[in-house]
Amino acid sequence: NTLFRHSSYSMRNFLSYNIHDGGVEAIVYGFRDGILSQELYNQISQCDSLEDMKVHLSQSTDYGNFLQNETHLSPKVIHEYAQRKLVDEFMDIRRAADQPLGKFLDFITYEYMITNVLKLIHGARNGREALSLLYTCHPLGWFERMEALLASTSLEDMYETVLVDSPLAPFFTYTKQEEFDEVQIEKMHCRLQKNYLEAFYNFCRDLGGETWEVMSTILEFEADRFVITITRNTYGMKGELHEDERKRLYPAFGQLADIHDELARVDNDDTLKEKLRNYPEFLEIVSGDRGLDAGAGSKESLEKRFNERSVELHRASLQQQFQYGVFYSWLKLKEMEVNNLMWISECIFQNMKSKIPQWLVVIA
Amino acid sequence: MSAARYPTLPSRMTLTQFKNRLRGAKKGHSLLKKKADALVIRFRRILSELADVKRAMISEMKAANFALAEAKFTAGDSISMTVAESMKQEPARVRIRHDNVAGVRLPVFRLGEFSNADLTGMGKGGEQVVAARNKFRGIVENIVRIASLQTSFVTLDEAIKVTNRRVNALEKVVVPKVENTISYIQSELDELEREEFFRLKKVQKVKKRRMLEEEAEKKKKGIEETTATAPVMFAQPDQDDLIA
Repeated sequence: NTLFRHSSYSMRNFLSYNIHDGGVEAIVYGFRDGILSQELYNQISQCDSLEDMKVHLSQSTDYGNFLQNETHLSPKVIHEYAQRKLVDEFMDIRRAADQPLGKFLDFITYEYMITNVLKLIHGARNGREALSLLYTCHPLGWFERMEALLASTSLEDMYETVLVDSPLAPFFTYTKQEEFDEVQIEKMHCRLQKNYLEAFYNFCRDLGGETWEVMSTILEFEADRFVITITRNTYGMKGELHEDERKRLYPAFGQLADIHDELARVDNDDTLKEKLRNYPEFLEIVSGDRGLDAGAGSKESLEKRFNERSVELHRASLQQQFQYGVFYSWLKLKEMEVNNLMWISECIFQNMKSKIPQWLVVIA
Repeated sequence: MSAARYPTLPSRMTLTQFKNRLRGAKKGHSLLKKKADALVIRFRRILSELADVKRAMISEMKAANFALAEAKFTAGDSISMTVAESMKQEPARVRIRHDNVAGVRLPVFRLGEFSNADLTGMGKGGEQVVAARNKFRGIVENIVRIASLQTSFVTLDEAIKVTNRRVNALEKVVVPKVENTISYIQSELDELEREEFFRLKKVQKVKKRRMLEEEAEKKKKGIEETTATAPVMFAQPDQDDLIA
């Protein structure tokens, strides 16, 4: 993946950082203070209706009057508006960013692009209506000529005409052409995600300095998390996903890289724990206090424990200056916050307020 | 109504025919009554079961929707798409067999095994997707059960109505009518018998009278004959004498 090695970028360190990126960083720190506090979560968790929630949000948070013009509230609407606000903020930063920060921010958006492209590919396969598909795409993942994907008649055509010119091309070339047509969307998504993580990792290494220090920790965690999640979700699916194939979905870095071969053969929780015994951090997450088998019905699921751990990492990253991890962490935390809002509103909407703590990840 | 009877010629033969018919109707009546009772018992059971399942559905539905919200929350919006894509064939089929309750065929739906899981949510949120899937599978199972019960319910309802109508028809119409007919034939036959008896008596009486008359006449004739011949015999010479 030499494509993403931009060693020409001068190393940013605390000497020159503020000249180029100090301003935008300050903006982000400003945004960071707007992250909702535990106290506020407590308050909105008490709300009996979405209207109440709206009032709370507009009175005491940065969200302000974001729902002012909306008469019909639903969890979806709240999520949409909150997300739009986040995207607007991100776009502001992107516009103000110098290079190579701009490149870094673009890299963040590739993840969303991948999801969008897969959505469109899937839609094209199943002959869904084009416009409604575009509507469901994540706004952070918009790129030029994305609409053209829908006009393409075949997948090959899609690749040749549109994706080649898009920033996503390197991720796609990695997958073989025939697989592009045949393989399941879900596998393709994982493959692309893996390629993306690896590329991003390499890119950060090229940026070097503090950024590399912070981002490598975060991305390694993400990679390991990805590996464990895939492993756990594909127990007993040898038919669908052979172990070689499984291994090929693992990003080639992270703390667990040494035991990828072994993990690819893992087929139940006990073996997984056994393999992870030298990695206390993950063993703790995987075993949890309530055991793995309890699944989503239990008070805490694996996903949530991972989320909590990543919140810790992102918060640590926000403490460090002179590095780009701040932007990534801010976006990710904010995204979790948007999800939190969606979850709370969903619980209020479905009258299941007791379930709110199940997924709420407190950030600040 | 009670005066109604079947149009018939009163005779011994029709009487036996109708007696057989009455026996048949009574037997049929008791059988149908038993059938109706059996159906009603089953009906009640189905009714209560149906009510239970439907009530349980409410909370299950709620839980399932919530699990779906959870899955959407963790795996992102796009799971509905990937799920839709992974559906290459129906994951389970409903089988029908028939249950026989007192001669009424009740359809029973049964859900086959679900086909195996797939890779949905492999990268993220698989756990929740699986949880939501299991919840909804439970719901599908319940829906099939409700469908089965509901169909049985409707079928039984119909069957009970028909059976009750038959029972009532036999009890209120056929049996009294046959009974009326029988008593009519009986009375008619009795009447005939009485007539016959009377006629016989009458004939006997006439015969007796005739016999008596004949006898009396015979007696009289006998006397007359003896008296009548003598004088003639006597008279003849007399006449001869007279002539001579």
